[in-house]
Amino acid sequence: MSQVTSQRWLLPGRVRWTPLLVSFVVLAAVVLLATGVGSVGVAPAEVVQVLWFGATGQLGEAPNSVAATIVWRIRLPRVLLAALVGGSLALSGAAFQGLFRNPLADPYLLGVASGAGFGAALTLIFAPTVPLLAMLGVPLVSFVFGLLSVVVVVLLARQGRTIPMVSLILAGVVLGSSFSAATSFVMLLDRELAANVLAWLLGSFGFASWANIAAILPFVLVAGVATLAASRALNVLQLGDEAALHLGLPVETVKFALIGVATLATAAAVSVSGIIGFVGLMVPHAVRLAFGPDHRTLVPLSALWGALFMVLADLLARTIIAPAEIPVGVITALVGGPFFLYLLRRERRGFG
Amino acid sequence: MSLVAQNLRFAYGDVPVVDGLSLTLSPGEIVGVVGPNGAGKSTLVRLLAGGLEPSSGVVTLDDKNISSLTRFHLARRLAVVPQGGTLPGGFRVHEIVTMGRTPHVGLFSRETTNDMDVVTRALHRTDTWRLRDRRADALSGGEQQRVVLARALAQDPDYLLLDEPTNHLDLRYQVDVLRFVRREAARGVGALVVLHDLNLAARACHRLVVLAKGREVAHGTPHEVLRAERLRDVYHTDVHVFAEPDTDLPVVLPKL
Repeated sequence: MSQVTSQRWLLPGRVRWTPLLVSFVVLAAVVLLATGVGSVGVAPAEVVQVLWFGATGQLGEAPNSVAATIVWRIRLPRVLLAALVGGSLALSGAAFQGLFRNPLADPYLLGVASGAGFGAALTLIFAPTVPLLAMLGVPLVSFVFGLLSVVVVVLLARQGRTIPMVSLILAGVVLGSSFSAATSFVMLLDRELAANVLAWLLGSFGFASWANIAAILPFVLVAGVATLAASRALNVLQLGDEAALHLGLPVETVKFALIGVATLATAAAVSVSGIIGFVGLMVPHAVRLAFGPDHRTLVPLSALWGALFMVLADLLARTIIAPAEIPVGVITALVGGPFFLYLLRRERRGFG
Repeated sequence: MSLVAQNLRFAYGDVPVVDGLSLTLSPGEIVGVVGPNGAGKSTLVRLLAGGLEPSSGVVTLDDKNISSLTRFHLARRLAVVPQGGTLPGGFRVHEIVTMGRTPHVGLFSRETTNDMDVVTRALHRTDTWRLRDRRADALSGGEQQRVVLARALAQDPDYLLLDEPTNHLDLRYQVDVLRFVRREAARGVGALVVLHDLNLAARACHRLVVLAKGREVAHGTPHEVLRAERLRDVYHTDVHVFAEPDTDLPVVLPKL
C-alpha cells in the first residue's frame, strides 16, 4: 500500500496550465497589436489608453480623439469579433471532432453553414422587394436558417432516443448540398446582388460592431462553458459509445447537449461573419497534435488558438492589399490548407 | 449479495434474442457463458449491465432493480469489458485507466489522491504499470486488453462482466486474461465471462451456462455441462470429450 501511495505521483497531472496561460497572454498581445495596425497606425500603449477611455465612457477625453474613435468604434470591435468568431468555430470544431470521434469533423458538418448561407442569400437578394427580410437583416435570418438546418438534420437522423452518428453525417451532407444548390439558384435571380452574397459567403469582418459582439457573446459563452464542462465526458466518449455507457456516461444526453450548444455558437459566429472555413477543422487538430487528445486541455486551447488565428488572418485580410480587403475566408483557406498538410505529414512521422 | 437475472427477455424487432433467461452471479464465483454465435451471449451481458432494457424480466443487484439505480451507481458496482475494439488514439495508458474512475469522480470534479491510488493499484494488478506512459493505441492487442482490464479494475467493481475477453489474443494473453479473472474472483469479485473456447472455459470457470437461441440449454459444473451429445446438438458439430489426466477436467475436441 505504501508503495502505491509513493508511486501515484508518477502519474502526470491532467490540465496543461502552461500552454493555456501562454496562449492567453499571446492572444491579448496580438489583439492589442492588431487593433493598432491599419490606415492610421496606433501604438499598443495608446491602444491601451483608448481602451481605458472607451470602457469608462469618456472617449472625448482621449488625447488623440480621431485615433481614439477609429480604435474604439472600428478596429477594436472588428478584432474582438474576429477573436470571438475564431474562438467559437474552433471550440465547436473540437466538440464535433470529439463527438464524432473523427479528426476530420468540423462545425459545419451538420449543415449550419449551408443553411446560414441560404438565409443570407435570401435576405441579400430579396431585401429590396421584401421589407420583412430587410427588417430582420442578414445576421438574424442566417442564424435562424443555420439552426433550422441542424434541427432538420437531427430530426431526420434520429431513431427514437438515439442518434446514430452515421445517419447524422449523411443527413447533414445531403441537406447541406440541397441548401447550397438553393443558394446558387437564388444568386442567379439577381446577378448584381449576387456579388454581395458571394462576398458574404467568403466571410468578412467588415461589418463588425459592438452590437454584433453583444449579439453573439451569450451564445459563445454558453457554448464555451458547456463544452468545457463536458470535456471529461468527451474524453470518456473517445472509448466508444458502449464503453462510455458502461462507465455510467449518459451518452445520448451528452451528444444532444453538445450538438446543441456547438450549433448555437457556430450559427451565431457565421451569422455575423459569413462562412469562414478551415478554422474549425484545423485548429483543434493542430492543438491535438501538439498537446494530445485530453479535452480538458484541447477544448480551451482550441478556443484560444482559434481566436488568435482568426485575428491574424483578418489582420492579413485587411492589410495585404489595403485599402482593399481580401475575404478572410480566402486567407484562412490559403494559410490553413498548407499548414494542415504539414501537420498531416508530421503526424505520419509519428509525434510525442 | 448477488447479481440476479430473472426470466429476462429481449427482442430486436420480432426476433427474440434472449428468451427467458435466469441467472445468479455471486461474489467470488466465475460463471462462464458459452454457446454458438447468435445465441444471445453479448445481449445477455448488455442486459445484465443495464446497457439494454429487457422487454420483460428484471436484473437485480443486491435485491434492487438495476433500472432504479443511477448509471454511475451501477458503474461503481459493476464493470464491463466490452468485446473487441481498439483504444482511442493519442491517450496514454494511465489516462485510459483513470477514465475508469469516472463513476466515482463524476463528470465535473477532479480525481482525489485516493482515486489515483486505485488507478495505480489497477495498473500494477494488470502488469501495465510499466506501460503507463505509453500511447495506448500503439500497444499490441494483448497489452491493450490488459489496459481495458485495468480500466475495469479502476472502477473498483464488485462484479465483472467480460464479453469474449480472449478474442484475437495469442495463447499467452488468453491464459493471462483468465488468470486475471481468477485472481479477482479470489478477492471476492463475481465474474461472468463469455467465452468461445470450451476448454479454457472449463478450466477458468466454476459454473458454465450453455446458451442457444436465447435460451439456457444446460447449466452446471464444466463436468456436468460439457457432454459430447449436448455439444453436438448445440453446435451441430461432432466432438470428442475426454478427461484431462491430471485434473479430470473435460477436454473438447471437434472432429473434422
